Amino acid sequence: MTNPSVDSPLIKKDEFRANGITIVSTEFVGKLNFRCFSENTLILSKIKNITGINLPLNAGEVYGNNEFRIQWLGPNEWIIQCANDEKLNLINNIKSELAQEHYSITDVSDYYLTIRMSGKNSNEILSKGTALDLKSYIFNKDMCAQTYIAKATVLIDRLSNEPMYDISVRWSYAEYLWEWLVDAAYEFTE
Amino acid sequence: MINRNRLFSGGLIDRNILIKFKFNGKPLQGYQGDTLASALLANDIHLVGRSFKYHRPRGILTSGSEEPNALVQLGKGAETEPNARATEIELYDGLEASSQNCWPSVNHDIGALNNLFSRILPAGFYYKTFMWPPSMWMFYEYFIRRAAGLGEAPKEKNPSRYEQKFFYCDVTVVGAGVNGLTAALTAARAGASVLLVDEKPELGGYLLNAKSRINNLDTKKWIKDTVKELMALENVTVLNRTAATGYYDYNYVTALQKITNHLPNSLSKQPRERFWRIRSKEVILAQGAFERPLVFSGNDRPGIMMASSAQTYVNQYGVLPGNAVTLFTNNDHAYSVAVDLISKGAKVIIVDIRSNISEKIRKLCEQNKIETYISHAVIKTDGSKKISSITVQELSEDKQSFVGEAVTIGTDLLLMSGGWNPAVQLFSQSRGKLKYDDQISSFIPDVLVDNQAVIGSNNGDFNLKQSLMSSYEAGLGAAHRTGNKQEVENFINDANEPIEFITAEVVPYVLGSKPVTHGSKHFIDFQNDVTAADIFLAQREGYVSVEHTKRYTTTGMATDQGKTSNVNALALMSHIQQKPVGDVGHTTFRPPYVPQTFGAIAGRNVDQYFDPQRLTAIHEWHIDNGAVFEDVGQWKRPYFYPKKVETMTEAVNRECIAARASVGILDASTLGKIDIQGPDAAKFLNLIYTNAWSKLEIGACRYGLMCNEHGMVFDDGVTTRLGENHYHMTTTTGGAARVMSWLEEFLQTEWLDMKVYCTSVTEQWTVLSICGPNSRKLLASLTEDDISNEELPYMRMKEAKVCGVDARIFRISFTGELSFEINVSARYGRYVWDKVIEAGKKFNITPYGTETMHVLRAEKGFIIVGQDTDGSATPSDLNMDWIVSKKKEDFLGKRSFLRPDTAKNGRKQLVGLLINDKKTVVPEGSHIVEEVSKQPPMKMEGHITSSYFSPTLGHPIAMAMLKNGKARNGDLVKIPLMNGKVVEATVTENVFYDKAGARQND
Repeated sequence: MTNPSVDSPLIKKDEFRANGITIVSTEFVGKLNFRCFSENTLILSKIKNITGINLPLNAGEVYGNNEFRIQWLGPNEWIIQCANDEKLNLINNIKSELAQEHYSITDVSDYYLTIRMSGKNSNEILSKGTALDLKSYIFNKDMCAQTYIAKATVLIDRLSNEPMYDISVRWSYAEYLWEWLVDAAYEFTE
Repeated sequence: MINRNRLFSGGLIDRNILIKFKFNGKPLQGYQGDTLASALLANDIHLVGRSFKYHRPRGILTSGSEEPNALVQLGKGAETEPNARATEIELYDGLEASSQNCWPSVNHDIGALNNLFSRILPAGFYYKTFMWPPSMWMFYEYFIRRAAGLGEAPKEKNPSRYEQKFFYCDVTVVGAGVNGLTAALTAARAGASVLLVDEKPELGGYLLNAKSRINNLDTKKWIKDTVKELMALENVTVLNRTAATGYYDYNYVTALQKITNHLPNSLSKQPRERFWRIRSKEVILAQGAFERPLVFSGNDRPGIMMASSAQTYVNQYGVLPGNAVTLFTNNDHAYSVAVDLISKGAKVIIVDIRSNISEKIRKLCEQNKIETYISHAVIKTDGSKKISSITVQELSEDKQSFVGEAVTIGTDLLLMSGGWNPAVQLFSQSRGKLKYDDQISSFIPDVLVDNQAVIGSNNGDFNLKQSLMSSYEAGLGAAHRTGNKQEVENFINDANEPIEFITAEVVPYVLGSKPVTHGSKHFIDFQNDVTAADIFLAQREGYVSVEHTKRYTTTGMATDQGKTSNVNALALMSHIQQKPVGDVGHTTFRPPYVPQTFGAIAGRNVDQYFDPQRLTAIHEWHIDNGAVFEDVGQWKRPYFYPKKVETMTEAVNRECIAARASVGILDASTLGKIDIQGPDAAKFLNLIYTNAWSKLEIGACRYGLMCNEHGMVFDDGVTTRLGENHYHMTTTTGGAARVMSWLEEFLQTEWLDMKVYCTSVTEQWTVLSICGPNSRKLLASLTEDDISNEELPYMRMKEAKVCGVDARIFRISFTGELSFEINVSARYGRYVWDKVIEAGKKFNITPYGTETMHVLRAEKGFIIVGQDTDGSATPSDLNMDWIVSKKKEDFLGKRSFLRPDTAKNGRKQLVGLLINDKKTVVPEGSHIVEEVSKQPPMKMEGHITSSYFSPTLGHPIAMAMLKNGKARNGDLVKIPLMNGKVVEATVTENVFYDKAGARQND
């Protein structure tokens, strides 16, 4: 049997460029929804041991290192990102380390697809559809927020203070959101 | 000079750039910087349109957004815009505009007959006249709408782009007159992020036109310097051509920015307009004031204009709208207009209604050789399409009678000034409270809302120096309160105006040559043709509340929202009711402050962006294979897959038979899926579902019903135990989000001690549902794992590799056939689907859509929540008592089963129906009636919830909610159809096919 091939609505999208805007789809990475009681210090320290980073405890914080990136979704909910082929290892590590604790870990690697948008006009595009205040002194590097862009719910993760965002969107809305972003960039096209 | 009324110099227009335009088909010319109104006046065109009701000739009253008269139809075809205010349209090359509400032309308008009959067309005429008989209203309405109308809406799709923008800042300043500029600059210098919006192209407001001085500079120079500094600051956003349209709670302000409206045939990729949604910590209103008309007989003719507007046309546009000018006033400030006009060569006479004028004003008139008629009134005007003369007469001390003889004076421009009304509309929208100020005879801000300031004439402060000082304070205060503490030196040293506006008494109406209620035309609301007589009538007929007067007379309605009329109407009501204006009160001000296009409100939420389409991983395959789609919530689901010449019925019949005879495949990815983990998961499910979950084995699946607190079914689905404390729940496609919220609500608000986490995984999984007698053979060819009935029996789940991909295979069935639901990660969904289709060819695998799914499940009597239920059915009503645990101590909805109405016999209950003629497919929603009569009403005893032709059985089947249905097996029922036929049906069980379930269990 041949190797199974992967597909997504964004895989076929060519990189989109306009004046001060670049929109690309990112490759599949491991995305694990992790939930636990944030005052369970044992879990916190185990996660630190496994990933090398702390679970962020303040609203909208993102912590990352070379291997992992952890996004705060709520007081007891995070997304842990890892390389695609590290995913199973990570799940197994967490399961074996936390066996007796109350937590949940759920693979949502395909639930979300991620669009990366960068360039100096990115905020102009996003502010057409999101009520988030994107000023870099308010929503800065390594912050994330769950919000709407137009009519799709998204998780926006700011990767740098020069505008660069990873926008995670539910698979079923990915086509809509990509087209919406490209449409919103119309006034910046040649 | 190309224009008859154009001055040789002066103004902010660019005389080097000639602009060609057409008005009513006539080619005309203006300059860059003109508005349509200024260009028309430059060409000595005063007759611009016809009034709303009486079709009276009307001209240009103002120079701003408050314009009630000069409404034109702008542009042609798809881009045409009705009711555009000539005063707000910037002139561009190729502009075409025409008068509206006139036929055949503005000069010869048949509708003007209304004016002759105006005595019998008072306020309330339509209400009183067209009441009877009620059935004729639709007929009358057609003609009334034809006769009384504004412009015409475009009939084609709007080709323009409109965008929206969310914006945040510390301080928003509305209005860039000198006060707004001062406040904005102060706040900005203190370090605040500032947004400054102004509806005009040119910042500076009214004082662009006046001969005032700030810091010993000509105001124009001061404005230029200030704007320049603001523009250069990084923390300041300046938007011209942007009107704040709405002011909502917590300093949420909306604004409409015009971007390409003023550009000829724009090829720009910029949107035509951008709608701003602004949230700022502080709002400073500096919108200025509107000059108030005077209510005198014949005050609406073309050539009658607000005094300050004439000043604007002279000073800003270099247009002198008339040469023999009369100025009718009740205040000092208007005298400055006279001086300006005289300096441009006009001859000006002043009629002042006041008994005395000050020594200063008297000297000014002497110096400028202005002829004055003090204690006089304009009692009559003449001129059919433009004013030609006025008649003035001296008034008695109490203004209630005449003394002396009437004098007729030739004039080609009559200016009026009744004082100034602060533009309090936006302030009032914000819930700020107003009070009546006796000195200026108008409403001014009284009680502010939080984090707000109102400055300048907007606040009733007409003294230039004092108001600038307050504006500085307001800017500094706003900056400080938003945490910007830098000290800013007061940069206003001195300021003065030649003649200040201090006081004006409101004049309810000026005595005319005819009594006000007997055919004189004292217009109060120009746009709606409301006269003083109409206000009298409304008071006589008992419409004494301001809201009633407004609606009865239409004062203050339509595009100008009474910006020129409201205070005069209130003053007249006060006069008639003999009580202070403040006690009469004012009507409620609502958004939008100025007319706003629907396009801007919609933004890009149009076409494909109006509502998102949710797509599965298999979507392209469905398209390639000719699927017709059905909308299920936002999802696009294949409805059926017609082959070339098939009808829907043929396609569905073919799909149904294939699924029962060999193998069918359905994309079931849209089902809601929720991953549930935690030691209390089983306990949680026991409370959420009506049946018992404690003993479900790992790997086993169970169907469950969820009820709300009222005991009514609100979702269903199969939940599978994946591990010790780990469950996979499925929900209906449309109910997924609702169920997720429901679970979280109980976990977060009721059962805080429960150790359970829920995570939505709907899109993580692509679900391929294969069913039919050959489905096991097909699946076996794609997996090396054992999927025999022993290893994977009905209602079990197994993790296996399918086509080399990790999968969860659920043996569950919504069709009653042997069925496997194959779940794979979405990224592999399409790959596995293709492989299944390929391998399925030898079984003639048939893709089927939601309609076939519905038929197959109905044959089995499976309900669809939301189709067979409507939020008022209990499990028992659905004949599903078997799924309600009798042993469980509690679950959501249980309590309500004990309520008398829920527990009573004879409720509407789910039954099956066999149609007696064996051929009619009764429309879903049809009523079952006790007795058929010739026409409704008939006593109803139930309704059809599901109805199909069953190709397997060869006859129609239906399900219905029928009163006392459970006890009526075998009864004959009658179903009258819309076409008059009556269908008879026999009540039966709702399982029509394979009652024993042998096929699915096999």
